[in-house]
Amino acid sequence: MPVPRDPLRAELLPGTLDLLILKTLSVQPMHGYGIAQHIGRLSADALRVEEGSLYPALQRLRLKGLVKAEWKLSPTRRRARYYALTPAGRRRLALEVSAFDRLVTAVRRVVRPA
Amino acid sequence: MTSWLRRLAWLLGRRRFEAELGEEIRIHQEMAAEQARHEGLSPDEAEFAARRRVGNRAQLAEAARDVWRPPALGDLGQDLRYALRGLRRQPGHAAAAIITLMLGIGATTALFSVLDAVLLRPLPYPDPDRLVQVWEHHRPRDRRENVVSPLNYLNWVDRARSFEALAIYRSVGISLAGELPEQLTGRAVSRDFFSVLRARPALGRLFNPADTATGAPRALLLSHGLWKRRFGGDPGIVGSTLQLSEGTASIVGVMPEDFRPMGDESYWEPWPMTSELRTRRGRGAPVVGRLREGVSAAAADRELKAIAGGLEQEYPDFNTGWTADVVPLQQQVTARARPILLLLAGAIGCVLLIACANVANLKLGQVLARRAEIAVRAALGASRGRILRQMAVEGLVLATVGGGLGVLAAVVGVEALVRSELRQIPRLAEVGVDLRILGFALLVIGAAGVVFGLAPALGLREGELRQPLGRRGGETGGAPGGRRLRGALVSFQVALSLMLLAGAGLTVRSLGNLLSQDPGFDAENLLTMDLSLSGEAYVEERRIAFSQELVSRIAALPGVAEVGLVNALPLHGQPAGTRIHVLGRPAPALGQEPVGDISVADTGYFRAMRTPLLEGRGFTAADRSNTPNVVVVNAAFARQLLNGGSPIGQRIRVNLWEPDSIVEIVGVVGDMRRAGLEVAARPAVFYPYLQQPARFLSLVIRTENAPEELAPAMRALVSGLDRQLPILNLETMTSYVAASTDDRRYPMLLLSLLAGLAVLLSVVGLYGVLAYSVGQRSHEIGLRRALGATGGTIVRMVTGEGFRFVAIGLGVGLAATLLTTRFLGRLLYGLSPTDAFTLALAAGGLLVMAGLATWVPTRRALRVDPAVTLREDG
Repeated sequence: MPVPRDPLRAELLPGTLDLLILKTLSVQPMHGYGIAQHIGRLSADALRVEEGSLYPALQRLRLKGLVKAEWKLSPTRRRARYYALTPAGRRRLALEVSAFDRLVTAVRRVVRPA
Repeated sequence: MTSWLRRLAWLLGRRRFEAELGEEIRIHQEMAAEQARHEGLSPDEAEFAARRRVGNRAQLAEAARDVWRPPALGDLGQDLRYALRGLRRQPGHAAAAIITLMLGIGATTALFSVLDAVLLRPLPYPDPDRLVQVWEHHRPRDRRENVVSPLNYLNWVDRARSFEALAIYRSVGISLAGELPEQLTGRAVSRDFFSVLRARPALGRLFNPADTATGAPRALLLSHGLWKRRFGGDPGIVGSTLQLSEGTASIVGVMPEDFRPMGDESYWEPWPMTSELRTRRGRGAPVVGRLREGVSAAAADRELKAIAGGLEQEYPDFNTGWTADVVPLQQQVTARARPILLLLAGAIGCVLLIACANVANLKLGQVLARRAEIAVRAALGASRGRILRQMAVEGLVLATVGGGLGVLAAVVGVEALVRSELRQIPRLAEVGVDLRILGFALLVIGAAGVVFGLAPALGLREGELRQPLGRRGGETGGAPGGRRLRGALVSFQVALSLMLLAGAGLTVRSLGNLLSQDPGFDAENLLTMDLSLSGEAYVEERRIAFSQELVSRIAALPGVAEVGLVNALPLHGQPAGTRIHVLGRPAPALGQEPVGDISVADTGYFRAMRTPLLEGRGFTAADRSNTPNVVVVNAAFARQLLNGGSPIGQRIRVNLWEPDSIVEIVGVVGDMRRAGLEVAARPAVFYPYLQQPARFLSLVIRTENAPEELAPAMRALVSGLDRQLPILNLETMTSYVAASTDDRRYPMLLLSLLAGLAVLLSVVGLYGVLAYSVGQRSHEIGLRRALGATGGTIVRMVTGEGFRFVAIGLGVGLAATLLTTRFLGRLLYGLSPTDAFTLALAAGGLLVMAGLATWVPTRRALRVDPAVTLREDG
């Protein structure tokens, strides 16, 4: 049974996927599937991370040295690749969060003038 | 920066990365399926949902992998794989392009390298632009580039101020004695010879005045080649003594490897300016000089002409009519070869252009033909830049393979040219593959491939890339613009090919004309062999005895019909000539005396050569040194000096061996061409060998069977008479005659080769265009057939298209040919540069080749099945 696509489900703003991943990993190391689920859950399914974007994004973050990957056993005794923030990733997350706040504030001012 | 290190690590650990990524994605999908089952889906449904969510796993992995690829090189490997696959899929296209590149780059580089070395590179001496050659010049007969009288030379040295040094030299020879007797060619040089050329020995010393003092041992300088070959490069050679059949000589030094001013010399010896030279007799030696700093060749020429004018006044007997010319040495060395080399350069340029056109045509056709493939790839998400890069990579792969083979061909070609030791190309030994030219050829042809490969794709805008996927209606006419461009390229190729083919045809027919000239003797079944009876052992009586013994033994061999001897074979260049005066005729003005060739022969010579005795008698055994001097003259002598009167019994005065010797004419023989097949015979005088036993002998042997069969017997016979005597140039007269036309034959061969190449490339080009056009129009052809067009109509349609390009090409080519063939100049003989028969033959030949190129596509057009077309349209 195909899952119907929710027309209201938001497209991610460009550049925000990296932020979401970094934020998710700041809680604890997680595998790819977990990251996608986590983001979906926290946004009450409003944000849907496509696997086609997730894995290239993870590789991009690895390449930039913001996350590191490690094979570990999951609590369900399943082997999976876990991603964790590096110190550089943590610093980057702080920057991205403040930049995102500024962006959202600015967009809101334009869209909903006081 | 560190990201680059990570990339490198990724590159090195790619296999593992791929495995891990695949595993990760698989696990992801499993987790998704598990989750779906928890949410209440059946296992199958859960599996399906998970698969749907993850999508194409390979694509996902590819996207993740793309992140790591270095940006520009990202898909290079893939591009390369595609390119190679593309080449394998179209082997014909690939082979055509690669062969075109190989021949284009290889042939042009090899030939241009020769041109560059011969025409452009300065002479291998210090300050080469100050080197000059000095000639005497007989104005009344307009005989330029005459070698110089040693005494005039000595006067120039005394009087001229323009030269730092002037040197004179002449050809000499020695025979090395020993196990392997060997005849060597060398130069006797005046004292300043080496300082003119600024040459230093590699070993030992140059000559000094003590070497020419009376009683001093004969001093020799060896060439590097002789030193290596004969003496194994022995570093202790200086000071050792050589055994010659002429006596002994002492080696004073070895010259460097690159010192080969005349190209053929193995050694040098000093030429003392003895009192013997101080009689004004004969002009026989070339002169080279080095100009003083700041003096131009023109100024030196003026000064020397003034000096020659003075000498003309002082010695009217000898110098009336003679002046001197100073020519820059570089110009001198290349003067003879220059026009032909420039001509060949032009021909090479044409072939290069044709090759470019071919590559362009192939690429153009390929890109047009692949519009559909491009459209599919664009539809699947390839960006325009990606497609362009793919095209460029394919071009580069072709260029690399073809270019690599081309470089190889160039190296082999240059090697072959250097090995051939063509006498007509001066300084050939210095030729190497010229990297600049190689680079140039690679660049030009490679650029043609890339530019024409990209141009059509560049012309497409993003939106249009996918167009061919849509309706096929617009395609019915093919791509007329592209076809017109390709047609124009074919016409261009045909035009250039016609020009080259006509040029080659003219030179081939010229050579045929030349070889059909009657040389005045019958070259079939003749063997020739040269001997040099040099040295003190061969005094006059010994020479006579030896030659008579040799002739009688050869005559006794089975299979020998006639044997004779002469001191200079015909067609070997202008023989020694001198002024001749017929006694009892009014003396001509000074400087206007008739000149005749002087040679020495026996009467068997004329019989062996089958040159008829027209009048009087030949020589007999009775014409000896103690009987009156007699000579035989040729028919030209009778015509020109006696106005056709009978020469028998006439007495003439000849200045050669003895000044003012008077001889009687006893016979007249037919004319033989001496200076070359194209040069009519001059008056000639033959002395009997028994009265003038020359040291240099050429034997001519008329055989009953193939002449080369007798060669071993000849060697055995000569070494039986004198084990130390080397045999020179044992060859058949036919090959000797052919060799006399070498300076035409080689340009002719090269030109024919280039013309063949041009035609081949053009035919490939034409075939490519037509095959493509038929492929594109198969739909249209099918429709026409369905509507009732006959096979004839289709044939007319296809061949008509091909021949329109060819006809335009032939028209343009004909005009170009008429304008250019006159530059063949010296290569033409006995026909006009616009010889209609040759031009028609060339055009006809091209038409036939074009017909062949049209045949295959036409057949393919005829096989188009209208039913298939209609089905496709349905």
